[in-house]
Amino acid sequence: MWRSGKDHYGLVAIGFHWTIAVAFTGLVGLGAWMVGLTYYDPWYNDSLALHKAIGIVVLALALAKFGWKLADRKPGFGPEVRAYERAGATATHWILGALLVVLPVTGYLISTSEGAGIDVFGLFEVPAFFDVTAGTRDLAIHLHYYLAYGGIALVGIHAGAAFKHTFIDKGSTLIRMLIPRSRSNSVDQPEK
Amino acid sequence: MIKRTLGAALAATVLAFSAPAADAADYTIDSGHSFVQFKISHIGVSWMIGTFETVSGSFTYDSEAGPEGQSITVEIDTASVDTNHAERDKHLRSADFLNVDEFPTATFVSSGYEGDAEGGVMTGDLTLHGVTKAIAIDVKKVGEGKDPWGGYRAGFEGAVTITRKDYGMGYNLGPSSESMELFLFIEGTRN
Repeated sequence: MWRSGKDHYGLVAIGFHWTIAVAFTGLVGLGAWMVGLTYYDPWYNDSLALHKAIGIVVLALALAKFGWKLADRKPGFGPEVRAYERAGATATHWILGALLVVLPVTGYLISTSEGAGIDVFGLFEVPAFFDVTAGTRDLAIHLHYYLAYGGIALVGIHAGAAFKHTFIDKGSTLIRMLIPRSRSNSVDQPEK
Repeated sequence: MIKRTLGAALAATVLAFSAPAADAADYTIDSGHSFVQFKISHIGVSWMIGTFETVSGSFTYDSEAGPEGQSITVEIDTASVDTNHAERDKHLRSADFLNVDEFPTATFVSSGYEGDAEGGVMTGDLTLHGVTKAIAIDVKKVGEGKDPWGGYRAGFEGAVTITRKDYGMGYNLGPSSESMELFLFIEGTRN
């Protein structure tokens, strides 16, 4: 139930996947929206505070997820995923995993470049650990921007592939990430 | 004999004229002791102070020379803007304000001076955000004299009020924040 098996994902892996999926997609959306806000928008300050706090949470979740993944069993691909698709999927998973660290870290470097820490929902503050030079800061700004939008494109590919393997290839790729049980071959059809 | 005396007199005359004109009055701005700051209203309740950390240039200051003998050129690295708030600085560097990628340098080049050796009004062209406008800066001498390291220094302060939208930076920050004060604290070492 909690741990993954040979052919299914456990509840913890599923929980991490969807929590991070919602938070990551939400963060990119929030970021795209907030940079267009004008000075007099009620969300002008709060949107940024929220973006930074959620970003820190995503970084913590991603690190916890990686730790769990090391200890958890690894379900292989379903038979519906072809060999070349497996290579693409593995690369996509690794890049998305890297982005879950790189994006929060670049965001952190931008926000802490003047020495102020990041307040996380008023609960605690992540201090500015590094002395960020203007060059590093500008690099972080560019990386954060392009990797966020590149990352959301990759999420689209990732989700599209899951749909393809589920509905076109009639596999259980998407179902496996929803239901933490081994259901052998009888669940090839999605629930309506 | 006569020839030699004439030569010496000529040399002395040349020295006497060239020394104050070139050496005594030309200064290089000491970036470590020069500051360009701005003060702008924050929604009418308080002030926001910012600094441009990288300032360079040169000036000519000659207390004997009268108004025509005084001039200054200041160059400001716009990307060095610092308001002690990372995201605000990022916004100030963006196209909404300074657009530092396109306009990396702001300059003030003086064109005239009215006043005496202690203070007056320095007129000139301020180029900011790609827009050049004539401004008049109230200036005051702070002090001059030998420094402890073998050099000679002079320092000045200046203040001027500018309107943001005159320079194409009209981003709405509220009615009380349309104009801002610029303060220049300029120290130079004599060349």
